[in-house]
Amino acid sequence: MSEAGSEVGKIVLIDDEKEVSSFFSKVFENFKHVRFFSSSRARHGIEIAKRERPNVVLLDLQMPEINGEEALKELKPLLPGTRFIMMTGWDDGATKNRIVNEIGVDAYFEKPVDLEKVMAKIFELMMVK
Amino acid sequence: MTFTALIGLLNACTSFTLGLFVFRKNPRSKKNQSYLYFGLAVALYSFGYFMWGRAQTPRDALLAFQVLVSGIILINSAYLEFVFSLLGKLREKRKILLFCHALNLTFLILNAKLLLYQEVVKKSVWGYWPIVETPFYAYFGFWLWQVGYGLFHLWKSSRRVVGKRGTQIKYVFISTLIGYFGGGTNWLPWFDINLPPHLNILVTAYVGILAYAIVRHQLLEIEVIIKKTLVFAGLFGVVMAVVSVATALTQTYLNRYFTVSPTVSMALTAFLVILLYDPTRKLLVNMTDRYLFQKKEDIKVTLKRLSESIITMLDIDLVGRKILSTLQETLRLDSGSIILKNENEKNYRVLDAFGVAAKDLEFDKDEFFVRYLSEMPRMVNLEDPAEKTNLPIGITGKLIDLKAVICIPLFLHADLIGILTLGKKKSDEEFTVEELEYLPTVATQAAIALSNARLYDILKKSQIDFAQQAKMAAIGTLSAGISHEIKNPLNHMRLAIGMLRMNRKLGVYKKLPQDQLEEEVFSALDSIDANITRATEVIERLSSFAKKPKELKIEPVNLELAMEHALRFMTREFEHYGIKVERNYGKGVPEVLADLHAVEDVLLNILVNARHAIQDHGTIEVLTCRQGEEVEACVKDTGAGISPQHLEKIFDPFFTTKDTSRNTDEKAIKGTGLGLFIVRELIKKFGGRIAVESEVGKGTAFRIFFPVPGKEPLNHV
Repeated sequence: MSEAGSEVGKIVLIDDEKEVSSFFSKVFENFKHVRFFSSSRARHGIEIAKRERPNVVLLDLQMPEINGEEALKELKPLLPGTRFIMMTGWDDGATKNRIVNEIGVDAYFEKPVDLEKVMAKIFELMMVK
Repeated sequence: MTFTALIGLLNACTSFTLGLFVFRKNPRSKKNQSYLYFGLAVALYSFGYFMWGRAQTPRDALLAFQVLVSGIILINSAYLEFVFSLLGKLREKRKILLFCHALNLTFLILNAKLLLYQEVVKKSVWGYWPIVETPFYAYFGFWLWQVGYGLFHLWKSSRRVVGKRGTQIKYVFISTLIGYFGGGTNWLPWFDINLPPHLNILVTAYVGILAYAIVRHQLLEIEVIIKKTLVFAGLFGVVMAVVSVATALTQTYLNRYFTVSPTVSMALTAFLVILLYDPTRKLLVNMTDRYLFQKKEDIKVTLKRLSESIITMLDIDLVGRKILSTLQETLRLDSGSIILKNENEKNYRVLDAFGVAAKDLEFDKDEFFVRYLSEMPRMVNLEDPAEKTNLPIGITGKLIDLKAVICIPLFLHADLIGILTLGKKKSDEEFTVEELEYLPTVATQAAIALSNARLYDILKKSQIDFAQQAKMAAIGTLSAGISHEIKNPLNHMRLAIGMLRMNRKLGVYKKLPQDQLEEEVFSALDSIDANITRATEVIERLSSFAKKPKELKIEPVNLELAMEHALRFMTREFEHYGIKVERNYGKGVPEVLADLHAVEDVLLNILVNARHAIQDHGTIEVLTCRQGEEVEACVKDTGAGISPQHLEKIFDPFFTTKDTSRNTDEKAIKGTGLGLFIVRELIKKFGGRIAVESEVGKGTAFRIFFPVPGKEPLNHV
């Protein structure tokens, strides 16, 4: 299914909950020109992102070992052309402030997320180069 | 020894000791100094009389008179000094006083050189008396003038000055008048009027009256000294009496039957004196206390009653009322009030009052009245004219409003926790020295009792239920994690729904065969169902944790299991803050007898503290092991550590290094200071103990020990 060229959109999801990845995956099955990667382990996910250089990276904040904030900090400088979306159920204004204002994300969604809105955002970000 | 000599000796002793004691009480005061001078002069004069009483030859008599007259001359000098220092006019009358002193000095010299009189003759059956020379008349005139001058000023002031000082002056005037009258009769024989100098006794009376004045009207504030002197004089008299009686008895009676050697009679006397000394002393002390120092007894009784009742009272209103009513009764006051700091620490309210409409008054803590008293470590006494003039108008005005003449600030640890105000006495009498001296003690006791009651009040009002409080404290810090735990399942549910909707929008399901569509939909529903279960579990865990336990249930508890339960609550939080957990559970660690939920609470509390200590990135090590006859559960963190001075206080209730204000900044770590106190109380309930080790910058270790069931614990905290 892979097509050469920048027409192929790539999305990487890093979330420790496997169900999240399975739902997104099911949806992305319908978009032939988008390749969807995911990992439930942050380290692994970061490696995938570095390798694939996706258009959009979806991150969950709360993860064991390395949390989403740190993964974001690590990946951002390495992937200048990539857009980042953070999803989180963590109810802490200070953290949100840090992520949105200090580090900077392209979108921030609070759980429970509306799948359609997230998808819309992903495609919007993919358009912008 | 003649009667005169005896009186003379008595006078000399009492004057001398009195003067000395007064001086020692306050060596720097002009009044006390001049009183010493006066006392010495009277003693000299009296001693002269003693000498005269015993004189057998004209030469002895002459010498006696020289001493006596020197005393007389000096008495006047000292007397004027004393009077004017009492009246506060030393500076004003400086010139006249110096003139008098100089003149007296001249006469002193004349006396020594026998220029006032040259010889003595036996005037009457009472003894030798000098024959006067011309210069004597000059002196006599001067003597009269000095006496009159002093008495005149005393009389004038006593009419003018009111209140306490006026009474003082009156007493000095009267007693001096009596004394000089008595002493003055001694001049009569000088002028050939043959009256025996027995009225000398009035000099003793003068000493007595002055003593009374001092005691009752605070003339020189030396009541204890006066008491000592009176007791001493009394004892002296008694001893003398015993000696004379014993000697008389042995000489008149016993000698008839056997020969009693002087040694034996002396021994007998000594024996009697020693026997009677202590009981006599005690009797005299009690009598003087009861009759002369009645008020002191009252104050002692007051304090005793007060301390017995209020220290154990825990209702703050009752304490305040009791203090006020006790003071009202024993001091017989017209009005009074007690003002207390409110729990909000922002203002003060009148807890109770009588004789004045002040019940609903409030004072702001920044008000001048309050600030002034906060800086005043002693009480304010409006009956002291000097103090009254020095007080700011704002303060006197406030006190008058409260109908108060005495205002006592109540301090506990440099914090003004209240104010006690006392009005005038019903009898309109002024507060005596003893009362004023004891009031600060009453105030201290009041402060302690009030503070105890207030603390208890706070405890009662916050309805501390140990286990519940620990839970609430723990739950507060877990809300972010709990919320997350529930949001995840909710997220999955919404994603499932979102997926179905999205796929429908994309038209996926139009093309799908029925059974595949069913498959998708129902698998999504299964997922939703599972997530509902998951969310419910989280809620159930939380609510069973939050539920108030009926009683502590003692059962065998596996500490490792309790630790894991507690850790489960903290997993998300530890993740979020980058805290790693190391587990080192010992093998074969016996179970302990405790309540599982309580132990979980305790461990959770400590884990929360550890989390706060670390703040960001660190390690928490948990372990369980057996230590002899105890089982240990330990939580170590690599956090900020606790300083030694805090270390000894961390288990104290209300001690905390965290922010206890209502600061709403989320970043501020909050604390009530009750966590570890409650933890320790809970552990104690199970016969356990808790210990802490810490090093600033390195970390802290909390060790909890439980006794191994069936064995006595080694030692308790």
